[in-house]
Amino acid sequence: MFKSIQTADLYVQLVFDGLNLFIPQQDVLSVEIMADLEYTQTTMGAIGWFGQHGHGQNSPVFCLSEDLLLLTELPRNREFFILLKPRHEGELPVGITCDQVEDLNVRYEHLYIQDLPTIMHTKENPVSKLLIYKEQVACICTGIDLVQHIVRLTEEFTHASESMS
Amino acid sequence: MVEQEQEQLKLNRAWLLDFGRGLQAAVGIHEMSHVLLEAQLYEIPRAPHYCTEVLVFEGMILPVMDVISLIEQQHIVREGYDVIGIAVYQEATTGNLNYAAMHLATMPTPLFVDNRDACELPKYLDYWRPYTLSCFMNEGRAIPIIDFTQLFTPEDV
Repeated sequence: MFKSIQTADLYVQLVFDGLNLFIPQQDVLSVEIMADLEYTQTTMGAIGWFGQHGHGQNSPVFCLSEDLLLLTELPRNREFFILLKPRHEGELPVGITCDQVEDLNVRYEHLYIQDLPTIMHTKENPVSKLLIYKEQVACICTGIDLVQHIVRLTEEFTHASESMS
Repeated sequence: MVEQEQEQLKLNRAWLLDFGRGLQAAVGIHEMSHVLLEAQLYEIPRAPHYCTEVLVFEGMILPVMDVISLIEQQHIVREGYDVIGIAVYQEATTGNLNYAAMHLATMPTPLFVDNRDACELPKYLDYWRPYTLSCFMNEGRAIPIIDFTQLFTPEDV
């Protein structure tokens, strides 16, 4: 029997630092390999740049820890990075590194998505939903929320760097 | 006979909850659903310092409240015996019944609360005031009766 694929059911699963993070597939521009990343120290907390996406300028690529804070040193097991679609036209895609990446359909996998309990909401928390996957609890962020979170982190990082210099 | 019944009506069953570090409170007998002696906890990033973990209970993902960290307004590392209590409460906005979990230092203790033991919440327990319905004396100690709806509802919702 034919079953239509609902875009809302499609997610990209990232694993890094033991964190399982699901992002709606429609918020992800592409999945890239680390070999294509140009490593360099940046003043904004990115670990490098990626320019092969046809947007004219290089996109910053970030490393996040399991508590979704910036890492300025690249952990050894990061094999891939994804590019998140920009929030607005004219902005650049933003990259996030990960150990593993997989795409999956939550309906086909019979995964039940639950809202993040309201008591766990904070202004700094980009996680909006949770789900049980492979006997673990995984987090769901929209691409926009994750990009906004990274923008906030880069502003803090830049401010801290300027204060130190 | 009537006097006896009236006397009984003054007694309410409750659970005495011990959160550790001398922090105790009571709730109605029906407000605790389960106690878990062992539970797999999962950290959720960027969550508030008093509620950084969740657990899976009967297919539901429940927040795990650390009441000590809430009251002390900073993350407190727990020490010693730790059990998880599953609370049932009415959601403030929807009125629906909901479940949430909390760290406890010991198993909850059942007790009877006599209306005649009611007292004002002492000033030194003022930190409980936002979550307190009433207070009573138990073995010479003031114990607040807390409202899980207030406890599990963030202030800005």
